[in-house]
Amino acid sequence: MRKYSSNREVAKLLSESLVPVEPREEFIRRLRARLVRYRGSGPSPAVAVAVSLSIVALIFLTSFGIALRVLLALIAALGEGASNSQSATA
Amino acid sequence: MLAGARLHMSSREEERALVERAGEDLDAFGKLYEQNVRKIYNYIYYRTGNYQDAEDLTARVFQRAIKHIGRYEDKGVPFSAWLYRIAHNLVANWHRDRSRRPVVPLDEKLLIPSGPKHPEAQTIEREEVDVLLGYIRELPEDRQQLLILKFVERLSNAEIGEIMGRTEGAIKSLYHRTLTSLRDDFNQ
Repeated sequence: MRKYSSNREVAKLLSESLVPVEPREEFIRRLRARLVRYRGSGPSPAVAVAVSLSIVALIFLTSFGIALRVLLALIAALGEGASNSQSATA
Repeated sequence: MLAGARLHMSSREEERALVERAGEDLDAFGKLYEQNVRKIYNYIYYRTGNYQDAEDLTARVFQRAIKHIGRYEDKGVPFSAWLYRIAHNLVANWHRDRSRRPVVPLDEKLLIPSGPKHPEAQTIEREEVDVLLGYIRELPEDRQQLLILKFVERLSNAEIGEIMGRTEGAIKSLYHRTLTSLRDDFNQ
């Protein structure tokens, strides 16, 4: 292997070795098309915000409905318990 | 000199305008893509040493760019600096993943173009280039990036400094140290 006495010689070897490479034209074209599809496939920010808000509202309403049912069930159970004890004392 | 600086400024302004529109306008992003795809490909190619990974990672750089361009902040440096940073991170992850797997040799095509030379001279030259590329890939990441930007992209120290976020003097000094380190590797 050759010996290098100066940095200039190393720089010369680097300039001969590190040459630009050309990517395949097909790759460049396909990637561009893919990026267009990629951008086109995503929802716009406004749509994304609307969808997120709808999901949050749906979750809130569902949880509220469940909580209301549980509360009504508890009240019914308590009411039934109270009427049972009343009829027992009568 | 002044005309050159003016030209540099106007191309920078054009680029800034494209970046501002690229979040909404696909054509603007397409222009930025055309201006930068070869640079990024070359950078990744020399960092990974093979065509397949260079294509795969280049695609990922631009997918990430198109996804996050809305959040891009202009800090007065070329748009390519942002793309190089994305590429740098992806290549670093690629090296991390690959260190857990067997090493793939450099592509046969990653060699200097050789003219009609004596076969023995060609073999020596090829061996020299292989050794050089091996040494380069063992250098710290910032030094590899510097060599690629300087020799493949033919950028000035000032332009490299803008991309790497360092001063021109720091790049000059890093370049000198890198050459000395490579020379020492060869002369070992």
